[in-house]
Amino acid sequence: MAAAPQPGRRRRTRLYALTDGRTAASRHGLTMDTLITATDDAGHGHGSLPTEWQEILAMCPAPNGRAVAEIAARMRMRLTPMVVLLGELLERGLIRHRPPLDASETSNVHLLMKIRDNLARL
Amino acid sequence: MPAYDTAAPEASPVKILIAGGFGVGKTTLVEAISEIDPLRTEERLTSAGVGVDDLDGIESKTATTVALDFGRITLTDAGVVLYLFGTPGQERFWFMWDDLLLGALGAIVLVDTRRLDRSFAAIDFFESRGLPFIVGANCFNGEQSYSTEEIRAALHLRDPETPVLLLDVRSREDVRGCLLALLDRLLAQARVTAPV
Repeated sequence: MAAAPQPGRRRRTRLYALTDGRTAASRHGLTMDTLITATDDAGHGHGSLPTEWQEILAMCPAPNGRAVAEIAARMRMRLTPMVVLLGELLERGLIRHRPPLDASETSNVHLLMKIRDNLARL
Repeated sequence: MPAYDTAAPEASPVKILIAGGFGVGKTTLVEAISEIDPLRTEERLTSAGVGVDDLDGIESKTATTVALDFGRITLTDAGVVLYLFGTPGQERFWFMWDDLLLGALGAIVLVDTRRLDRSFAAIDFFESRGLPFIVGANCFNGEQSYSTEEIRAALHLRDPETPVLLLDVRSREDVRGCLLALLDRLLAQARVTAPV
């Protein structure tokens, strides 16, 4: 049985239903700053997908897509339910994810210099 | 890195945290340089065992909603999308939120010199976790009656080399200057760790 909606808060329970009631943390390692990009497969049969899914896919075009936090904010969902929903899309091959750079990459002098140079030219 | 079959290369996400007490101007800073209007997302954290020394902490377990305001800067030439996350005001919940620090380049701790104590928690947190940071002292109405040396001394920074800058968080130039100062700090540390 699904948990009763909390009183006094408007919840989009349909989304939870769409994830087969899954509420556990994602197994996919989707963090708030993971970039999500719609796959080419997502372009086919869009019409049969739930509206919320279509909205998400439409806001994550290649190449850069959007971070999980940004999708959550634009869909007005909290992070955890959004991660669960994105995990579902990932399993269906509708999105790709690009995790944030790890410590060995973010301490790379060349990358840091490129970021600095680019910021300086903003 | 796996190769993706798309024409344009995909950017990698990186993030910088903007910390500081309530009302110090975190969201204004993000707004000054973000390419999008700042967005807000929320997370519900369960605070088992948090705040046991609080007199009002009667319940052993409570849930709190924390909010993050953030913006984005696409740095095409560097191949990254930089997200600037303003940390939630309730610092005591940060340590439960591994996602917040994981993969962060570094942080800017914003301080209001009229209320320096509000920034101590952020500084302690980043020092204990070893996340590089710089301090930005917001000049409200363009005024700052303390020097960076006075601010540095008052903050008792563990590393005396930690940069302290004065800025107007509404100024894009000032905010960019802070980000560049943070990058310079990261570069200095990266060069020490892995000389090129």
